[in-house]
Amino acid sequence: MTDTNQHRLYCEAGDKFAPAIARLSRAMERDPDRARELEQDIHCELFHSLARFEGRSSLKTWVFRVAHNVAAEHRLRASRRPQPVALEDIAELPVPGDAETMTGEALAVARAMALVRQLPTLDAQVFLLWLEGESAGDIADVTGLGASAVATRVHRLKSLIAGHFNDQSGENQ
Amino acid sequence: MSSDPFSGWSGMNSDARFTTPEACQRHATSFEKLIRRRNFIEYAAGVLVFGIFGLGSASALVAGEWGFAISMIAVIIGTGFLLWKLHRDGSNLDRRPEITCRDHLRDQLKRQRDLLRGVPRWYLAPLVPGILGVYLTTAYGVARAHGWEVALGGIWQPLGLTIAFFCLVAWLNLRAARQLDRKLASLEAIG
Repeated sequence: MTDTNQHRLYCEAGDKFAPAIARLSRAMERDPDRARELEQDIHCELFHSLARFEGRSSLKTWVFRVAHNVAAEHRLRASRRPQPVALEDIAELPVPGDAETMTGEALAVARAMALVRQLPTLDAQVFLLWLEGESAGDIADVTGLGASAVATRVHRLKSLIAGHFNDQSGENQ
Repeated sequence: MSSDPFSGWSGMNSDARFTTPEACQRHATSFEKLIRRRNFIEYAAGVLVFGIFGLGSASALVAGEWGFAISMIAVIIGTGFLLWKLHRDGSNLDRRPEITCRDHLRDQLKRQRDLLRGVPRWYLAPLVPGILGVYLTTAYGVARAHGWEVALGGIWQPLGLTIAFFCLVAWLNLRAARQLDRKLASLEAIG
């Protein structure tokens, strides 16, 4: 791949996915400075990886794979992070520390981020991609999980969330 | 797929922008920093061992203590081998973060598991000849003056502690490798 193509793809990815990568970084890393560093790491790993991009997957799938894998490595290195709790073992959504100062949507998002930090890496990746509005097929492409494994995880997440946001969740598709 | 309770999610950080390519070319990622730090520690430890045992073996040679000299050189060679192994297999920079998340996770776990599983072979075994040599040379020196009973009586405790320490290191690493094996098995079982 030429440098021009690499730069063009990087700019295209930046236009489309920079906010999603910012959200991923902030969800995976609580500390704002480290989250910003993780975000930059993802940008730079993505930039270098695009030299190998041959169009066998969509740009979106490529970007999300790189982003989630770099974030997963970051998690592995974070030694003082609390141990993940398996999705099936979580009875209720975690409550962020400053919950009393938040309301509605902000609280829901804060709880989602707290949940991401508790889940094992693959479950957290599925959850984040689902929050980004990705289809089960796209989540399977990014994570490498089978479609049924993705569906099972999404179903568990929806059940977990529905229990706590009964009045808002409705019938999710 | 919608996510009603989190409808505000996709609106967050809408002003985020990518780091410029020029900045990326200058920026060392956390992974690169980690490798750099690990390499530095490896080499610093190596320099320390080479320095101490190099001086020790040189002094032993000057004093005509051939047993000690050879044993210390064996420790230096063993340390050199394990540092090379750690550098080659523990700091592998060949990475493809664009593969699927599951494969990426599997590759990382396998690499760590293989490294830990081989600790008795590549980390402990290369040090054994040199350390045993030091013990045997010491025992032989004592035995010449006071007999083997005294020599063995004085050596069994430190030797036992050394063997116990080596066994503990091997066991801890093999246990960690088994834990990674279980993680790998659960990763395979996801479907």
